[in-house]
Amino acid sequence: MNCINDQQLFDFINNELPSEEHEHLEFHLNNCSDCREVYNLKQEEINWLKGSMKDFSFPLDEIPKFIFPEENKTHKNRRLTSMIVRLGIAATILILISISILFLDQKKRNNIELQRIQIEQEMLITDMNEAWHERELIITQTDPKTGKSEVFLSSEIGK
Amino acid sequence: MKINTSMKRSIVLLTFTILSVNVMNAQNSPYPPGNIQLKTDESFGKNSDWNKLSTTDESLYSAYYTRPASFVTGQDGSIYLVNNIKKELQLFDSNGNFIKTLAKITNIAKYMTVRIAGILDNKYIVTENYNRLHIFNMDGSLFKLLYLDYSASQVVPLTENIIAIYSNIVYPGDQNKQCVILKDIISGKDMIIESIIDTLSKGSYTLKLDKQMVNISYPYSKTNFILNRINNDQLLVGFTSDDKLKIYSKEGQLISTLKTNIKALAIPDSAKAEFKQKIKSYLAKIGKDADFDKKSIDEIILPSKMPFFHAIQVDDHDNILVFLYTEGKATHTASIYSSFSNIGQYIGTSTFNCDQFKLNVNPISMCIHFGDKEIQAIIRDGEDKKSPFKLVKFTF
Repeated sequence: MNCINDQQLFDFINNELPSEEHEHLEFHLNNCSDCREVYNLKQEEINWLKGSMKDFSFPLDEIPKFIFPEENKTHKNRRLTSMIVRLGIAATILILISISILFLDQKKRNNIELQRIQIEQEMLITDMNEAWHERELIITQTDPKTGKSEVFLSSEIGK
Repeated sequence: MKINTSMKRSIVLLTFTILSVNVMNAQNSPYPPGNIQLKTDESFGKNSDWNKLSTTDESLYSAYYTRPASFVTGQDGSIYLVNNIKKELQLFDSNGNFIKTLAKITNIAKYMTVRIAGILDNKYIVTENYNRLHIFNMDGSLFKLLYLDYSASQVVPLTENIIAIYSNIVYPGDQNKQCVILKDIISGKDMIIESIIDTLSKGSYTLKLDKQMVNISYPYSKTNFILNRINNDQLLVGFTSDDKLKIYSKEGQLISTLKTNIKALAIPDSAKAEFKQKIKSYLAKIGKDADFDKKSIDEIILPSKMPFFHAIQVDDHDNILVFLYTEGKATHTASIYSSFSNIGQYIGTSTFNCDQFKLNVNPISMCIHFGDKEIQAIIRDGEDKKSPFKLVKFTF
């Protein structure tokens, strides 16, 4: 058998050869002093390299983790939350203002409608010809808070 | 010239016909032209305790007291009265004697007058309060409470579950839509048969004070509809700024238009000045300088003419009485029209005179019985604000 080349030796050391070839090379190394010497040298190099690697390696728990800056993330979240809250408050205020305007407008219209009805009713129960002769006016006093209004003829004031 | 027998017969027949028509007209007209003196029937309502019915509760001496009651007469002559002070539907016999309270009227809008609207199909009594209609069975049990989508200024029951409603609907921009609506109380269906848009602030002066708003209204510049039932199931519609009256069927079809030829009374400048002075006096009474807002007061535009009429009554024989504004004081002048033949045959113009009481000619305060030549009415028994109301009967 020819002597072992570098590639074969390397594969032998790394146990990457088929078993039959591995046994064949093992037999050759036991009987060839030149190849054994090369093998021993290579083995020593490998052992030294492994030893050197071990010195540079870190235990798993000692590997520093890349941590995103926590403060930055929180800040972004806070900004987002703050914006949502502000938008929510603005939307709520806008809705409340709209409802208030509608409500006040409706209340105002109801009050006007109520006033108009009360004047109509006053006219229906009053003898308007007599009221005309007395130069009567119809007075409506309304409390804007409660909407309560009272209707009476001008001659009834102070009676 | 010789007149033959046939011509003689024709002349006699024609003369007889003319005389007969005149006699019939005279019999059909219970309202003689000129003054009609009303005599009070002292026995009417003698057994009713009017003080008790009007209450002595001081807290009720408010706006309610100026509109104490309204009534209608049933087919048998019984009187159904809505007591606005006590908020009750009460029954009186045909002699004005209190029998019993039929129902308490609940679920009513505060500060609003509850009034009787009329009797529907001799089955239901209808009362109105802002946008609420109470429909009672004749025994006083509640048949239905109707909430309207609009307010009701006047309600007139017609027939077959149909009622007519005069409504004011306020729109943004100082607009007010006056409508006459026919409503089916069972199905709830509405139909507008007449409508007009007017300006709310017309003839009004509004003043904002510290705690309240005051509106001073000149009612004679406001136009409004007046509704009455006529010919059993038809609706008579009058609009105060129009001298025509219209009759509608209960289905909402215009049957006829009656031209009254009433002349509207002109408002003299002296009267306008008196009204403005009245506003200033009122402002002075509530502590405002009479001249503080002189410009605005002067800007109130008063019309040059009064409305054509202020009330309409239909008697139990379907004669239409149109009550006019007059120049003279303390009279109730009615132009009387007949509705038969649906062309508004003019009967005459009369004046009702009542020495003892102030008579309110509005339909829910007064009821005219053509055949019996009598009038039933609600009056205030005295000049004092706390005077009780009273049902009275007049004959003429």
